Amino acid sequence: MEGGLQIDLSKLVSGVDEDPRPLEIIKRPRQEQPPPPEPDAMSGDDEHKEDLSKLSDHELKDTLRRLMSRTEQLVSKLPDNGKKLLARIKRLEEEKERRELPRSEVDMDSPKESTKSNSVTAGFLDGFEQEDESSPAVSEHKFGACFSRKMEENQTGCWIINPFDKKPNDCEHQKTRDLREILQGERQKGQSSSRQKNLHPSHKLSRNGCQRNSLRRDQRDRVSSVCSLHSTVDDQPISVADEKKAFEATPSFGSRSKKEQTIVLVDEEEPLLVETTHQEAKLPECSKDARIYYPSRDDPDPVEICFGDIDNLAPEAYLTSTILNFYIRYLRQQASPTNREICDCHFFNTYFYKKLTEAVSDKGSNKIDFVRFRRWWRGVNIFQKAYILIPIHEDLHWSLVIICIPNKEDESGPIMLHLDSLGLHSSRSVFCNIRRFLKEEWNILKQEVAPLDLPIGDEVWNNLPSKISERKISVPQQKNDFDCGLFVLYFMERFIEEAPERLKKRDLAMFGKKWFKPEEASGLRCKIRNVLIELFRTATTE
Amino acid sequence: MADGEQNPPANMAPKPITVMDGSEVYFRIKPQTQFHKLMNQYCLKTSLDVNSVTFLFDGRRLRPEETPEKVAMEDGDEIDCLLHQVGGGGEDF
Repeated sequence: MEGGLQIDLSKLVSGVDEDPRPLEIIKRPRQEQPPPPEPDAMSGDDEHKEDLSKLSDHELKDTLRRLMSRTEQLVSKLPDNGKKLLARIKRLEEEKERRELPRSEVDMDSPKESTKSNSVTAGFLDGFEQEDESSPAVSEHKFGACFSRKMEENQTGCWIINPFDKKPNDCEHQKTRDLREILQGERQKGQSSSRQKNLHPSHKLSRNGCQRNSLRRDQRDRVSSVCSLHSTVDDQPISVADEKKAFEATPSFGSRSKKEQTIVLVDEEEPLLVETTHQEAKLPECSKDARIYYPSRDDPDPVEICFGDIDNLAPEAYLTSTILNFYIRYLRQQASPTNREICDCHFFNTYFYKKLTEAVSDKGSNKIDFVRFRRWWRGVNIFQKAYILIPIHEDLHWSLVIICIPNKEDESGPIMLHLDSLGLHSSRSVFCNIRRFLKEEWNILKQEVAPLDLPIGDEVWNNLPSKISERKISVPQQKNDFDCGLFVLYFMERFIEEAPERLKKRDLAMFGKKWFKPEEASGLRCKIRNVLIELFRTATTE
Repeated sequence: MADGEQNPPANMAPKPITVMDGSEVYFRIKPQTQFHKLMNQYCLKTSLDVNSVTFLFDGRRLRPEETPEKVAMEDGDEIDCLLHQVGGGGEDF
């Protein structure tokens, strides 16, 4: 290069190198490249440089070796005494040295790669394979790094891709293909300025896909849309396809993005179908009218469930009172032998609140009504309980009220909590009704002659109606229009697990929007269904 | 009541049923008669599907095969007939 020599290597070399193989694409990190050599201002030089950069490592070495072996022979024959040839050899050597640098860097990332023969492309693939097995985060990172390096190369022009002549809406497909072609090291011509835009999202998408695959049912359709991107690539088995498999195995949560929603994927439905058919297969053979009693037929307070009631737990189905009352009974049954605190809880069924509103309404002879209504909790002094749980059903929606009764040391009165996963019920009217109910009950108990063994302090008890406080509790919200029954049940389940012996105002911090993940509550649908199926199976085999 | 003591087997104690909408239907049922008879009659009169309602006595669900005697029902007691409740996300959806 120095000296401004006229070099026409292509002619020179063509005589030497009889087999012009197709050149392979090599990628080099941009930052590793030395500053470009000074332009020679000679025609042909640019072309040579380009040739060099397009040579694969392997070819580079080959060419170098070939030239070196024939140097002596040729130098004498050449008109310029081999100056050009020597210059070319020198350049080839420089090029080779330059390439050592990036290679060793990649090697640090991926030890496997050092054993591979040529080009960073191998390392690229390695990264993919590793991703399947372990540490997706690391390999993803590497993947990303490789990608951005590739992109930078694109810009330098050493590595040029053909934009193909695809329609714009083909771009998803194209992206994946591009990726494959990069991996295969196909040589492409032409320049694509849009390429960078395209490729990066593709990387993001696959990462999203990984994370999202573990989404629960209610988000599955979104997940499948992500994965379908990959399912469009079926003609060539490449790491992209492997990646798809890896997705299916790992459960996790991901954020939603609108981009994926536009794509309808059919393939990803398969796992779901398998799952459902699996569950269907598990169903015992019962007629829809088959009934069981839980916990048993002889229990003083059993709940009755028809086999057909299981249909109410189908995906997106609204929950019925039958299911709620079953699970409430189930919670009581599960907890009572082990957990003494459950005895301090009183669970009303789903019909109670409706009856309560009638009993405390201003219309009619509610005095008589209330006395009769008291038979719903006959034998139970609700003020001796720590907690009273009341499911609320109004306007096709479920929510929950928990009445917290203070203990003797406490100077504050009962606290009413309203937990609503949609904020649909009017807390004010709910509190109003329940306050009346407590007041009525208090009135009657107060007149009883027999001394009451109350856990409440005298001061509070004597002024109970004015001591009742109310709190609308902020709780996790459902993200759909069908899960509120499950939220009520999950509120109950979590509350009786976590509540202290007696709830004080400072304990209210246990609630909040982040009390639990909404998906956990939605997951109850499956759990209850399985519990019921198991019960029916046991019943039919007995 | 007095009649019942004198002649228990023939006694037809009136058992009113109160429905949630406030309308009242009165039934006379023998203490040994199973409730499914009453339930079917009630649903026939009110054009309700027997599978869409539940019958509660003092908040406790009545089983079709139970009898007034078994659940200690007395003259003038009320049975609540309630439609199954369904809820998911409210009417606004």
